Amino acid sequence: MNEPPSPQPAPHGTPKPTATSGDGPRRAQPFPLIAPYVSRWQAAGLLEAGQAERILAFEAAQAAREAEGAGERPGVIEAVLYLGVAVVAVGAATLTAQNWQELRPWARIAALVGPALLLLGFGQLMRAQAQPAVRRASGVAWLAGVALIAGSAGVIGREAGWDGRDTALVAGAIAAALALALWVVQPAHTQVVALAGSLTLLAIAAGAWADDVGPDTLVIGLLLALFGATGVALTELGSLGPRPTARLLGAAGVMFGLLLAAYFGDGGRRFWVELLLFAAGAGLIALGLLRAAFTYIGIAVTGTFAGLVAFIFRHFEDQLGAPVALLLSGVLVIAAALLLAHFRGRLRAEATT
Amino acid sequence: MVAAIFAAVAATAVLAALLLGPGRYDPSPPSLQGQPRAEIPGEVLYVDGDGCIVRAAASGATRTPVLCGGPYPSSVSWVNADTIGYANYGGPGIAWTEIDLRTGRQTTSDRLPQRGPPDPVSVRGERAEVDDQGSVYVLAGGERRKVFNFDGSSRLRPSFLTWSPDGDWLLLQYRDQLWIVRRDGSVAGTLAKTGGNPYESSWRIEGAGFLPKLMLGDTRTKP
Repeated sequence: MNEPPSPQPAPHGTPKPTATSGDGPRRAQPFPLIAPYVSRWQAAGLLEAGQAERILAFEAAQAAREAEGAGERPGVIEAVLYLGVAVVAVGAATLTAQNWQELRPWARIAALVGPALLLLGFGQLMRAQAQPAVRRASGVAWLAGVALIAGSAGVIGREAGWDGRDTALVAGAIAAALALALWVVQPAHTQVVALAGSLTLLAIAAGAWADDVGPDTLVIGLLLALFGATGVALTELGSLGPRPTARLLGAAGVMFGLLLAAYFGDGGRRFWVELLLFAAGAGLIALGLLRAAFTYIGIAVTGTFAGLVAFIFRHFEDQLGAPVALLLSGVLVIAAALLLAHFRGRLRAEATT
Repeated sequence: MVAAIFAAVAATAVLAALLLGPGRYDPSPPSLQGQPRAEIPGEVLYVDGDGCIVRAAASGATRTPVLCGGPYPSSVSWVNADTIGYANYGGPGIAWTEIDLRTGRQTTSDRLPQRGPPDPVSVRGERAEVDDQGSVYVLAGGERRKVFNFDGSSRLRPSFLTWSPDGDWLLLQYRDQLWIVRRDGSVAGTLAKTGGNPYESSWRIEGAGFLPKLMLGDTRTKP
């Protein structure tokens, strides 16, 4: 690790650039460590005085912001807030489930809508607080609020006598719209999780809506993959974040969705989806290498090799027999693990050079 | 900020009060134990949640445990004015035990009582009916009249247990409760919250006999 130069220009040593891509936490250069470098570059004629001042001002502001956010470790208050949110959500769900038959229709709705609005309101209150720990907890309150709103929509539909599949679709759409709106207000990890969860609910509801007999795994899987691919694209364009969570959930949506579409339910006629799964895996690996994002590589390799194992069992088990298929599958699993280890090491090495 | 927190807590308290009060169905008629109705004749036998056989005045005025602590009775019935019987699965087969209420003497045999489904037709020829929403009707002379309006979840609606032996009253089960309703709907009360499943209850009126009917049949053994 490079030592920061003394205020006097040093003959050797180059400031280590701060990583701006990849999945790891960004460690900003502490402001005092940057300052000697800037002085040195200014002395060497590489920077104008104005540029140097703007860099120092920018880094000072950046360091203050990051210290405020990342420097705070979760404390007792934050833990208690999480506990309170969980207790409210579990309490509302249990109240509704255990007392369903004893509650009047309006009370069934109120038992979910009330706590949902409370959690959304508490989330807004927490956001207004100065302490970062309390502000972080607002995301969890909103996440639970979105889940309860989805449940409320389902109960309202049921009490209104709607068809169950229509109700699920409406509940998923409302939850997705609310999660998106809350993400716009506060683009935090928990809001990305809420958005992904509500889109998953929407995909499942759409799959159930599309088929009278049972959930259509092709529709569910392809919708999940579509939502995931959209999330990946928006993340890489810088429109969706925080990036680690968005990458993780987007890639998981793509690979799990295609696995679901290819191998679950009536998957016998879905050869093109199997090919799409491998193409998506290759694409995510390439994107991971391009963007130095191990998340993409890890999920893509895992999903691709899971798909390969399923592919072997589906198409070659009769010819190979189960033992050989198992043997091949085991080798593929080991290969996947080794590939992951290789890519992780390579990305780490690139990040440190 | 502080005002908003207190407002949220207050809103939660209001919500809880609503959910525990008006938001909850309470379809049970008034307790007969608290307000006995002398016009309801006879005595009802039932098994409570502790497995005790209880003898209750149908008016709600008295309630006496007859037998506690033995094997759990799966069925209970009047046999005559001075004798009750109960079935249980203790021992190698189904045992039928009769208790003399005057002496307390118990006699056990392996005769299994045959108890048919509740007869919805009373000795007056009127038919009892519980509709899909849980309301209770009496059909007589081509007329169908509602005698009890059920304000509860239709999935937990009351079920008909038996007519009273004089044909003037209906005995209903709602969850663990026993309800008594007059055939014209003018009186309704909760006889007991048994804590168990009082499906096998029996109503006796002096001079009118008891219902449901009970026939002591062949010897049966537990499969």
